[in-house]
Amino acid sequence: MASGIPELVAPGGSLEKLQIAISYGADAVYIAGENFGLRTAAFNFTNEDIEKATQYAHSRNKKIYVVINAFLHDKDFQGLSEFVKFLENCKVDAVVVSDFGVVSFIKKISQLNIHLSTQNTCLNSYGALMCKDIGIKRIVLGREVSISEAKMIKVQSGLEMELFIHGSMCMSYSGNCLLSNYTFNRDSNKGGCKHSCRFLYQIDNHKDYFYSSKDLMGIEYLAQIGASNINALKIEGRMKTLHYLATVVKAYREGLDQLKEQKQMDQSLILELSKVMTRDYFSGNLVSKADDQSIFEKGKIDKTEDIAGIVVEVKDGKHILLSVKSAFDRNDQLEILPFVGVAKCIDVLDMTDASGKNVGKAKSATMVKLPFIPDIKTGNIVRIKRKK
Amino acid sequence: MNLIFYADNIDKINELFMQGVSEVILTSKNLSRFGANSFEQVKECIRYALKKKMIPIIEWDILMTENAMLSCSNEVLSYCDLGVKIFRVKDTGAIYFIKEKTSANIDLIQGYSNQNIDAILFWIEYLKDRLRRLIVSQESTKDFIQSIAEKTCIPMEIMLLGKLLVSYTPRRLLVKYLGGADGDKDVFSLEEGASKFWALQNEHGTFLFYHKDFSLLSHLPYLKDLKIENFRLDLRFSIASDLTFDLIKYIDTQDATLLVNIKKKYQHELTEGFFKSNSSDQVFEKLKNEHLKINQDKFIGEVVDVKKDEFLGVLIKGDYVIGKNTPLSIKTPDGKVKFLKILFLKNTCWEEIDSSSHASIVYINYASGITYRSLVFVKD
Repeated sequence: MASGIPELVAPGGSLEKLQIAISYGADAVYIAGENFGLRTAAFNFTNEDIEKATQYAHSRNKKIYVVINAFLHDKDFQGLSEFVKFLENCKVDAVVVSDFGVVSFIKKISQLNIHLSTQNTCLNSYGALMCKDIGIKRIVLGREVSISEAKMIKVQSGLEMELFIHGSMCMSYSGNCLLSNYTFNRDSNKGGCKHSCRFLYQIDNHKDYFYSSKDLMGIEYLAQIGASNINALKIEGRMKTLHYLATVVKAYREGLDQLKEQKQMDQSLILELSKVMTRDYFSGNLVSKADDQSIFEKGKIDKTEDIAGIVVEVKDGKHILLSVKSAFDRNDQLEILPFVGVAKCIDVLDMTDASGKNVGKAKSATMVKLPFIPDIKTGNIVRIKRKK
Repeated sequence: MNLIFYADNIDKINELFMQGVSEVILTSKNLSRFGANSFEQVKECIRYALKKKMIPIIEWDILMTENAMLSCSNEVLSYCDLGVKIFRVKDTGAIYFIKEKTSANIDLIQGYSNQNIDAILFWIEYLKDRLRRLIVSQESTKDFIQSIAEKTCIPMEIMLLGKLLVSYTPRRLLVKYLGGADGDKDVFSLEEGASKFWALQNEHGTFLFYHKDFSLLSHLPYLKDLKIENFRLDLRFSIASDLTFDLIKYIDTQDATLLVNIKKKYQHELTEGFFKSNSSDQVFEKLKNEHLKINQDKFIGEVVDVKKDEFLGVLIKGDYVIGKNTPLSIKTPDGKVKFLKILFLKNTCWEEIDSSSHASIVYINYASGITYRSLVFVKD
């Protein structure tokens, strides 16, 4: 029987993604400012965005964690003091930090809660006790740690534990890979990872994706995690799509809610997650050590179902306005993913542009109006279910 | 000057002793990434080194999850009982264990992190007199090494020659080629960059090494000028068998001819990594589109719908709204700026309105060249 329901921590690659994550059931969202994070290519948050995001989340009783997870060099500290003070004034719930120099810097100038990033590779209770010594509140454990080990680390240290539960995995110990640094002059620990681990390599006479990991999926182990009193579960992917985010957050929210209600997990949640699968899934190190079976040998298989768009407006009794992300036509069936409950299928019989003129095909980067359907909410993701 | 070598047997320890070396790094297969020795073999080496009045240092650089840590903690304590007083450690758990459970001192492996002076000062403060030495990583630039020398009193150890590890995973990824056995393979990238690596598999996982080895031998005078006194030579993977004597002699004399001979004997391409400057440290071109940044005042919103010759849909996101007479300045994703006079303003029900409200979508007249995701501002 479950003894604790962990917080669901989702990625917020943009303000829009943050709103989607919260709408679909995230308890907390992690975001990055314009500097100091590990996703240089992501559309990171300006200070104004962080302020808006925090207000948005707090008004819904959700939390905001801001990542400062790059390994900084001396010159990179420029602006950090101002940023930390800004975050403290903003009342973000915590910062997620990798570098002990940065931890020390933040402790000297603020009272911010500090979570240790997975990049720091904290893997055991002695490491956690050290973190406790220096005032860290929560540890995002390395992805090499099993559920049972995470439980032991929590018991021994008394700190909050956060485990990665879903998403892409570094093949290397996170924070311990310099492939990009030496081969592309891009510092992987400062946001420049080139993902060389995903490249095709030649070994003997074989072509091989030997350093590419399958993706983590831990939904089947929620009951075990609940019984271990793990405080939080993290979903990877600030760079991932709205469709991925909505689908994954919703599946884990429902899984955790079923756990809370002491129900058996609905197996259809696994099917849902397969709809946003870009590599094969595996259970990481959650229950047993990952080894050569964890290699994703195919480069990429995109099994993701197409997203039709996102509902941007619902006018009661009149229309639904859909921001189209992938083209579809009147012969397609659409599947609307509600924030709570099962997906709803609709046929695209009537479809107009904003001015009310009929359209046969909805093009991406446009808006189309669909007939009003009850229970559909602004922010709902709509998939293209199948071609008739 | 203090030279440090790895040794895995009594003969090697004796050879180093005869050359005047006073510190040896001993590696156990349970604690060290590339250690091959059993607990008993390491104990034998410790006893011999101590008998020769040398300083045995135990390397504990495997990153360990809880179960692995628990299973090796007794081994660590046993080494202490035998008289080991120094451990080289990387994992924060190992650091804490040595600090709290033993009286030994710590040679801290700097690693890829700890590349700023705040981090170095943090460790000095945290470990206090238990921190004997900083093992400087191959990624540290000479400027940073100089900065540590100037701003702290911590003794540093620099690797002068050895392999360059670029990635480390606990997963054994060469099983297809080697089965479960230890072994190695050359690995060539077939994609961008055309890089090559040397991959080593053992019971602790798979290690990728850069195709060039690391050498700071030619920078020895500079390092000596910084008053660095500890230099490590890692010949564990070297195919040249008789380099130890030559290296010791070169470090003593800094004879350029000797260095040429050493490089010839070493038979491997060399790099000095990021020592002169960290080229990966430069701010590389931001991958995101700068034109999509809101860097002007009076931001209204973003174009979210375009129908050629008919209308533009604008999502009102900013603090400003659109009125019927608002002059607009629109910046496209490719950086062009267009000015627009509003001819009509409608809501999503296609009703005429006087002005927009926040977070709504409004429709205005079309203008050529304006595309999806263009940014809309009030024109000054």
